[in-house]
Amino acid sequence: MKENPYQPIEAKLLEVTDETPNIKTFVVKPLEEISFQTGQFMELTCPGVGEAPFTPSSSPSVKDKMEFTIMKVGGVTQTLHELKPGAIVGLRGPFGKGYPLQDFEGKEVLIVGGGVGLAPLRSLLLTLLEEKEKYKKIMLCYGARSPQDIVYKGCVSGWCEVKSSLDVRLTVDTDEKNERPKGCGVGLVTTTCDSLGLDLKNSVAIVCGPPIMMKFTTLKLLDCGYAPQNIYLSMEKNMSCGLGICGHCMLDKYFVCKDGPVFTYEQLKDIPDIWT
Amino acid sequence: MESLYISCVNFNGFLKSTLEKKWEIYAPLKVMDSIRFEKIIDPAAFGGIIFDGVRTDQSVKSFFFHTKEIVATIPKSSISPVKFEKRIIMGVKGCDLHALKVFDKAYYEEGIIPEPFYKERRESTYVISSDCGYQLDSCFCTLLGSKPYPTEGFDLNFSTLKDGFIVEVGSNKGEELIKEMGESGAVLSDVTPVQMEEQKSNRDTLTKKLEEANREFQIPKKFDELCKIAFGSKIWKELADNKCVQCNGCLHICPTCYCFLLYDAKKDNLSERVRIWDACINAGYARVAGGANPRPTLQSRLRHRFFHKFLYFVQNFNMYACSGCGRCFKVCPGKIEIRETFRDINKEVKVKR
Repeated sequence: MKENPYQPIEAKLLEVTDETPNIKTFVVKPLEEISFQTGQFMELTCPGVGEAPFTPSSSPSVKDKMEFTIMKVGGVTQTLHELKPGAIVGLRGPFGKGYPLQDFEGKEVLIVGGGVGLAPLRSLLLTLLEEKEKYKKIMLCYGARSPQDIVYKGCVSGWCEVKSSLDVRLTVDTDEKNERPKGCGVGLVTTTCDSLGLDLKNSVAIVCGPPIMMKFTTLKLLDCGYAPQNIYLSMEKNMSCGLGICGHCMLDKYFVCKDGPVFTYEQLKDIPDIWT
Repeated sequence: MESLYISCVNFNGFLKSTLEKKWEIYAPLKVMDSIRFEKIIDPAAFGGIIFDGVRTDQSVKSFFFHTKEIVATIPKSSISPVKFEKRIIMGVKGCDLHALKVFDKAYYEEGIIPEPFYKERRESTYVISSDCGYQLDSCFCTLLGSKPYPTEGFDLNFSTLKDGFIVEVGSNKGEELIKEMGESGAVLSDVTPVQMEEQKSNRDTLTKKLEEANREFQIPKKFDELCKIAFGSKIWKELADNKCVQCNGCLHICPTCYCFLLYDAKKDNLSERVRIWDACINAGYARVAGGANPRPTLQSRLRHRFFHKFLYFVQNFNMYACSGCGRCFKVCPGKIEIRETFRDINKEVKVKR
């Protein structure tokens, strides 16, 4: 047996940053270098507890470290949230197909994120910005539940400042205490997709967020005039082995772990019940 | 395909030589009222080997895909599958060969790399299949286009004659076995036309019987075509409400069900990664962290079980992930029957029009 695909590479936790009350960003240093493409995911192991799939939120151009932005929702993530710098975790991967960057070249790229769904999109955005001359325009629409739930608070304001190459629209569902950052609207993320001012014939949209957000954003984008093959969706399924075998992430005939996790809406539109 | 004749006496002589060489041999034996694969360690057991019976109670799946095994540890240690010098599994039926083909597709081709644990075992195992001698009322391989005798996927196939076997060679590994037989002193001869005729007549008779027994389940539409129009069928709810008790029996006994679960367990200072068989009808099977579940209802999970076998696998590999062995029906406390289910769907579709 040449290599064991179930064996994680050990990685050291370097830094933990609080993003929101239940989301943290973890900076880890794999003991062997792992190269990945933006949009591919890793299986992150909490030794003795289990592993779960996450897409790095850092750019693949950073070779010695990886960042993961993780919401506390289950057993593995609960334990991860309790870890302190210096702890040892495990990494397997990368798995799946990344974002098809070559298909975005020369186009106006719209990125729509909801909540912690901004994590993989941050990796994409950083990658696009590294070669921003390749893309005609880059636009980010991001929605969070409340001002407290906005991730990458520091970066987001930074992104707002590079206005010349990046157009940022922020919104929160509710803002009871009037704490939202400057320029941030109130309303669902779909409202930021009104009057985009993009050349839709030459534009692609990349969406990631909770299922309900993905559903309504896709419908909104179709309504705006995007063709199904130009809408890219990150499908969240129960990816486990990452190899395309164990069956847990099956979506119709697809294995999300190897055929995805990014699909065009064209690939998915005829599948019943894709949003559940 | 090359065919040869070997007498029982000569074959037993070969088997004896393999035992002396410490090969592992498994063959179907009658244990109480069932036929099971048992490890053969003594030549005295040769007489009890059933070549011309029917499928064993359990398939060959667990020889290649263990019900539970440790696949990795943290920190890293040298975990690798048990290696066999040489292992022979005899008396494998056509339905189980079909299932092995499904596994080969899923574990060699569908995945991003050939699954190493499966591959190790598959490559070190010689498969000697054999024609069925009779059928069970749950057998329906002919309904899926297969035959009660192996046509592909074996290293050697045995057709039982009065006092010997017609041996068909199906692979390079089969050629190796033939060579080993020669070296053991076993005599292999050409097959006579009379022997050929006996094989053909046995095969034709059983095929006809099976087709006859399955006539009542014959429907004009192919199962994958039916699946395409059965997503919203009321059959799934009926199975869920009235029949399925979620025991997992069907999926565990199924020779083609290949899904698994990985979990980590603490043992002293090690974290062990354990792989066990899993079943897509379990409620938490597809559930993601946070609780969202793509298949929250039993009926949607039952439908997925059928669709994976009869639609998705056909779309991905142009073959059914079902061998027609009927084991699932035999173990099901709720008597869920694949043949019946498709017949019911067909009926429902007809009525709707």
